[in-house]
Amino acid sequence: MKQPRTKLSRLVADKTLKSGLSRRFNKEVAAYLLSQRRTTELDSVLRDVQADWAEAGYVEVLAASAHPLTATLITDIRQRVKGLYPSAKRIIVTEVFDPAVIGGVRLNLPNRQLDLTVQAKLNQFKQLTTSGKD
Amino acid sequence: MAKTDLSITELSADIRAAIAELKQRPEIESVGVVTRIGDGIAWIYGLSAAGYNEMLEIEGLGGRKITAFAFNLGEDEIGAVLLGEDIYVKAGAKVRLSGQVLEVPVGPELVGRVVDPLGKPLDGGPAIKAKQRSRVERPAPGVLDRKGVHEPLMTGIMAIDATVPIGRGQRELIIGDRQTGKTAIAVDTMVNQSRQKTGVINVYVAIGQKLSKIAALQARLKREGVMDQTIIVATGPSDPAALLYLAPYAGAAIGEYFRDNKQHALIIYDDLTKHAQAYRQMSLLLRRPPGREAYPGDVFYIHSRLLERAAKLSDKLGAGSLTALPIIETQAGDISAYIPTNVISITDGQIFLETNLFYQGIRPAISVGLSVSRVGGNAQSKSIKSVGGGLKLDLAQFRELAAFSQFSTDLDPETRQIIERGQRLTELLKQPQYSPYAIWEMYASLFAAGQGVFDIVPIEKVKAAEEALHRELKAKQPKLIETLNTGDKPTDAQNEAILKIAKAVAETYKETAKKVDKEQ
Repeated sequence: MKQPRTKLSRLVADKTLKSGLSRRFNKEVAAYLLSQRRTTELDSVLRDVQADWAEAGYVEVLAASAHPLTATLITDIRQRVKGLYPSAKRIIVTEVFDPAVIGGVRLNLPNRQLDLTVQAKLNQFKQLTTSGKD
Repeated sequence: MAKTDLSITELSADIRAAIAELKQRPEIESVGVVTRIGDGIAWIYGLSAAGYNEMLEIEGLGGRKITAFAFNLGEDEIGAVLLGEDIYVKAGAKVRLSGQVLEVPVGPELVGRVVDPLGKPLDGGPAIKAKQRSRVERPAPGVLDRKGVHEPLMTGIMAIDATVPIGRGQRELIIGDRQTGKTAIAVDTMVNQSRQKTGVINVYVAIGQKLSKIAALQARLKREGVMDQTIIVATGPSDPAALLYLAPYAGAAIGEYFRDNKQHALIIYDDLTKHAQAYRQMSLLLRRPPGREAYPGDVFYIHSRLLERAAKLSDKLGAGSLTALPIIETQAGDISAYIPTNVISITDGQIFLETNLFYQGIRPAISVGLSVSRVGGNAQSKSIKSVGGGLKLDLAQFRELAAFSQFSTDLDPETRQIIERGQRLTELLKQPQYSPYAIWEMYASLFAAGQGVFDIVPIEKVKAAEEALHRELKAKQPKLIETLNTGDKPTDAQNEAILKIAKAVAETYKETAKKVDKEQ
């Protein structure tokens, strides 16, 4: 019987929130996805898990930037995220190095994104000046 | 109480590593059993985890492994189409899942070879050691991955390049009754790519063609030096319907390799009528409900998803292209039958060949009235566009007036002039097989004809006069030829030079004609 993706995500979120990351449990999830031929759904499952964690007050934000983040910037990010998730008990900022963003930072939150990068500004400028044409 | 050491990146990496590790381990296989077999179709019980189009391995007699692919997925039964001989499979045979969908080898290693739809060589040459493999069924590029068709794909056939031009990335249907020269047009286009050194790779997909015909074609292409940039995907009439069905998709996958690697490829599907018939056979044997002309409901989709893979890619993706020339055979010129109308609506135009014209000696027997190119105009070179613009209209007017003139002896000078010009144009557009024209040859002929130079030449000598014009130009104006071959619109001075030579040539043929008249 095929289980819905949301049900699977909820199970992973509940289990990890209760007992933390466990290698054995992760293997079980991997085996289930393989046996059901649903490995391609892993990204969606993880996104749902991230959203479930946020609901439980555990917000992880992936900050993509071309340069290392300063302590001030990390504090700023935390404040912004706190504004978005007032009930957040813990906010973790994970840095992701991405040279394509050129400058600034892109915050990837569960099902949300805050793009403050130079790349995004340039794209916006291109849209305004050439109506999106190359 | 929530743990504080949670990280989505860590969780993701952990699960991915576990998946990779588990994939390495031998696992318990799920096995199915053949319950019924016949006509290249096997019904299999079990294997509920099989995917659509997944390859299955059937244990045949004498330890043979027969490949099939899952085509009908029922609740308790799978209908699979065999890619090998069904005489080696008996009811009760074990079936295993391969976990893979159909793939073919792709890449430059295939150039110059004749292969079957599974990539196995048929030319007696060594096994193909391609570095890459590609799925037979792949989605077509999306809207943003494409660019408008703007570069010409010259066929070397004056009637086509002037009136129904084809662009790189276009789908142009070649349609007509049997024995009207459909394959000849496709083959000439391949020959022209070699003669004009365009670098376009040809992929010729023979669907249920006589093997003797394919062998003769290969020999001819070899003689013409075209095989060095050609791949033939061949299936014969005695091959299982599944192979005939797969051939065009395999050919498309082979052509896509060049398209996706910044190159240009031309693919010829000869022909899609036989492809539809093979699919109808498979569908009826799989007990799918028949529709119009007994074809299944999704016969349109099999052709649309195939032809949509021909595309001109955007600059971002390397600007490669795959041009498709599908061929459809009609019965008694009926283009309103099911498959012809389907493919006409999918393609970007059609070249319609008429039996009557063929037997009147007008070859290629292209019906100018019914042929059309919907996007090729943007791709036509400027020089040919400047002389070919009015050609279609002139010919259409001529055909109309020629029909009326049969009933009347007294014609006004204007009508007579249109008929005389039309007769000469028709003569000029006749072209023997394997002799494609370069751009300069087409331009010179059409320009001279458009200026009325050949009006003084007797009809039966028009072709000879045209050849003389080409000879003279080649001898006297080699630089002008080079300029014309770029496809740019010639200057007034260049046109003047062509006209001068053309008039001199026409005069000699006019005089010869008078002398003959006097002798008679």
